[in-house]
Amino acid sequence: MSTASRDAANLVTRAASGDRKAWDALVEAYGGLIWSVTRSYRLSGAEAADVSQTTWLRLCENIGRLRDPACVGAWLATTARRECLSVQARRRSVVLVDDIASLEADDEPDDEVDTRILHQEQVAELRGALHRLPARLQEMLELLMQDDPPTYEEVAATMHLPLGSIGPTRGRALRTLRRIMEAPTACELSSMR
Amino acid sequence: MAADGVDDNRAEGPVPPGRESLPWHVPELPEESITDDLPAAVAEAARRAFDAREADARVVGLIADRTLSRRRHQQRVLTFVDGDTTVEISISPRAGSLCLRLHVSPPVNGTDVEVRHGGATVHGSLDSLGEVEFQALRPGLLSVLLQPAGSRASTLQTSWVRVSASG
Repeated sequence: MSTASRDAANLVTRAASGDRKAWDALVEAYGGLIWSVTRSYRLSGAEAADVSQTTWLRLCENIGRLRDPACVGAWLATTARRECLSVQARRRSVVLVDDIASLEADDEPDDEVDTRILHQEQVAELRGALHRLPARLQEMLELLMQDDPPTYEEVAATMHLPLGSIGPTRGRALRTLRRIMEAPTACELSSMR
Repeated sequence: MAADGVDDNRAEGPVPPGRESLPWHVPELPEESITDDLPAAVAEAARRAFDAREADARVVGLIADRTLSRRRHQQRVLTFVDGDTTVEISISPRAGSLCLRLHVSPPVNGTDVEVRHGGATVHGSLDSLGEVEFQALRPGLLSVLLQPAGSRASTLQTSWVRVSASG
């Protein structure tokens, strides 16, 4: 688990036991993420404030029951998205408009913002996991993950390894990396349920 | 049965003092002030949400949200379930505010009821049929707390929902 994930899990655990400072730190860390989700759905200011507050109240309700406290950021983003969709659904049920096409076009969520933030978190997780690999495996993956990767012959020459060992060593490095990443992936999936 | 002992639940007129400090109060933001940066008032409200925490309460989850219409009359019916307990909340617009009818099954006579709504609270208790009615509620975020009278059973709290001026 990365330092960021450990910190998030620690804040959730402390807030669940009544630590207000930990709650404030969660707001500090994720308030912007929730707001960016509401902005991506182009809600009005009142609706966006409503969704933000509902999302935090939902966390308050569930803070002792999160499947993986380390993934509280993904949980909050998912909850905020659901609340945005709920606002849009209720708005559609009561609002009549002349131009349905323009409303639908306007309601298309701009997923880029929160997707980008979550992607950055995932990249940070990946970097953290990479740094936990044994040095030789880390070196090999860094060589092979370059935008313009060297050939196996070049990797063998650079790392002073037999050519035939590059493929199996690469496979072992990826399996090890996957094991390190396993916990975050599982929690991300659980938060989407 | 209509609930009495109502406090701080005026639907119209000036905002009651202290309403802004309630954890479920949503700040009003001038549209022109909205940017991609998190507004300070929204962050402050998020910090305040922690005060709504009921550490020992069992949360009753929303399983159905229906809007029933008949001629000009509209009613929103929210159904919450936890184990054997069902809480049904019917909300309808009335005289510029909201009327809320609560039905809990199985009924526990005398259960204390607290309705948190639109930045205010009202109190009442269930009758022998497990029902109670509240008038003049405000739109906004809504949750109901149920505490069986003279019982050690834990408080039940309905999951937060958003209600508009039309229900």
